[in-house]
Amino acid sequence: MSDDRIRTRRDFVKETSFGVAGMTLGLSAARDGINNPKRASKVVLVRHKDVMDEEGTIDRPIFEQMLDDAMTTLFDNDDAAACWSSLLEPTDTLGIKTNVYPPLPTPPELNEMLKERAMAVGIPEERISTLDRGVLRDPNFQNATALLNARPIRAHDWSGIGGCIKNFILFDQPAEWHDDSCADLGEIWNLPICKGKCRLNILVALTPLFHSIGPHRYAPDATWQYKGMFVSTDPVAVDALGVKLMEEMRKAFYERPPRGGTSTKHVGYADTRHGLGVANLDEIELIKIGWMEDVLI
Amino acid sequence: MWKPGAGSLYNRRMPAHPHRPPVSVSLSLLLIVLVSITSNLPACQTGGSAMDLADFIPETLETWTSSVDYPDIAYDHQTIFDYMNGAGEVYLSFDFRGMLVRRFEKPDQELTIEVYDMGNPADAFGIFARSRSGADIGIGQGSQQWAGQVNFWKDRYYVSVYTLRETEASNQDVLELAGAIAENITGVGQLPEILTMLPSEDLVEETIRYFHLHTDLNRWYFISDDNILGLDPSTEAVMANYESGEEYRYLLVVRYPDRERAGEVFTSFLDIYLPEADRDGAVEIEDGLWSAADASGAYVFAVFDAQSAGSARALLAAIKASIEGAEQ
Repeated sequence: MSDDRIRTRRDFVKETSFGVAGMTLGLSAARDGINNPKRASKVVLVRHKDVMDEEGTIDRPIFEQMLDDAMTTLFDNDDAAACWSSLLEPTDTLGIKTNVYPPLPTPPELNEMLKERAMAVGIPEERISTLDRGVLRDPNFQNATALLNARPIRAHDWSGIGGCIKNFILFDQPAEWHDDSCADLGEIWNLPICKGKCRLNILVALTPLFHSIGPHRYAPDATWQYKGMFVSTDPVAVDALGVKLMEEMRKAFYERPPRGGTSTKHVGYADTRHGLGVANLDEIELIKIGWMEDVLI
Repeated sequence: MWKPGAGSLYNRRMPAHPHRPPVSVSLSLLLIVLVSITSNLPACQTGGSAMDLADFIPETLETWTSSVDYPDIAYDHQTIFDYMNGAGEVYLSFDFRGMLVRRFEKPDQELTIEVYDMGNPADAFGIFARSRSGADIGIGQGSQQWAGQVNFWKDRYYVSVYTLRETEASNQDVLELAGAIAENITGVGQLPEILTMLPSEDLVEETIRYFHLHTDLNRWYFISDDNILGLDPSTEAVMANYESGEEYRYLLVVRYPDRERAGEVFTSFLDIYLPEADRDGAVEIEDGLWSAADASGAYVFAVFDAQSAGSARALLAAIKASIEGAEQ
């Protein structure tokens, strides 16, 4: 810890260019050595204008191509199959951690695509589970040697963002992790059931819920057909970008953008306290491919 | 089986626009037969309190049937997380006592009613005000309708009625059902006394927030991740906006259990956040945005985002006069 003094809005105004996102991330450029020049995380943001229609129906072939292009870009390899083979092995037991929040679940198409790619690597179907609730009781998750993590981005009334980090909360008793706006969710990733096992994080941003209108509420008005997804091996980096994206959407959507926000400190703390990944936007290599209009970040 | 594809689709720039689906509210009449009787609670976990909450909810609705798959369920401090995971903490930041959920259904449609006992009217208002953003629709003691749902508070209760598949008909059902529940809650609660302190000139009514913890403060105006105002369940806080032309000021008022604690917090707050200010001085903390703070009795209050030092001091003087007038 390089600096323990209390930091306020005034420090963020002086030291960072993150805006509200930087404040609510619990980050500061001077804190906890996060300006270490050796650190870097790579994230691919892929978008396509026609991946879904106005009603939200997904065009599966386009969605597939988005995933393939994200993978080839992320791993600097033109062969998408080779990218998957570099992530997974035929001997793996795989858990695909999804999210079933009814108004905004992980798209079933994505769950299927991930399973198909794992099977193409050579993992037999019986050693693959796709689950949200019930992971602690599932033999494949209990014995997993590899995890894939995929869920949509949404504003959350207590933790600020429901993203890739929080998606692992069901690897323990959720109520144990609620203190201080879920500040230490990153520590979950150090539990034996998941430590070091997650090979890929996909933060789905097809229709982000960018503003929370109350506890466990969903408002179609506060969604945006962004038609994208963030893909990375770093769950913290995709969530940090997700926080920034929600902030930019609120700025674009509201005549008077909010001056505060539900704390997303668990994203910053996943970096500074738990060493899970990189939350400092200046240290994230963001590669944007596809549809660029209103990309916002 | 997936086969690796070839080539990229991302060679051209295409137009885009954010999708903001319209929300329409039908005013057409739909007859709903409301029969308010005490129901059985097969999954009741909080005993008498849940039975009281059930009294407020109609047991039958015309065109809807009680959900077979989801009978009434009551939740308490421990079990609320089973219903809404971490969002339950939001209710626990107020004086939450218990809640009841009842569902109705029709083909391809579900309607959910949640009745929360928030312990006292102030906290029922607080949880309601936390999510309100628009004009009142005249149900209970405060209400709003948005995206297939109606939320209102009355007495010590907060009620939410909603459908996930929004249609004109379901909107109308939600509206009328919420109205019926409000009628069944016969008590009337008092607004938090601290709200009466707010100066009325330029006050934007729907921005009034009432809370206890600094996590809620930061939701409306981020000051610090650290709890530099010492907010806890024993403190009452209200934040509201004051709009005048282009100016949009934030006023925060906190009441502490006693004047000694208020004095300590005020001194500490000035030291940490506004060290350049003297007791009634204003400080420009962002370009063209001024903040100022003061204290009186058991109260600490602050103005943020004023466009001039004079404007910050004027609002500060108005709230101070209001507090000191009330205490005389």
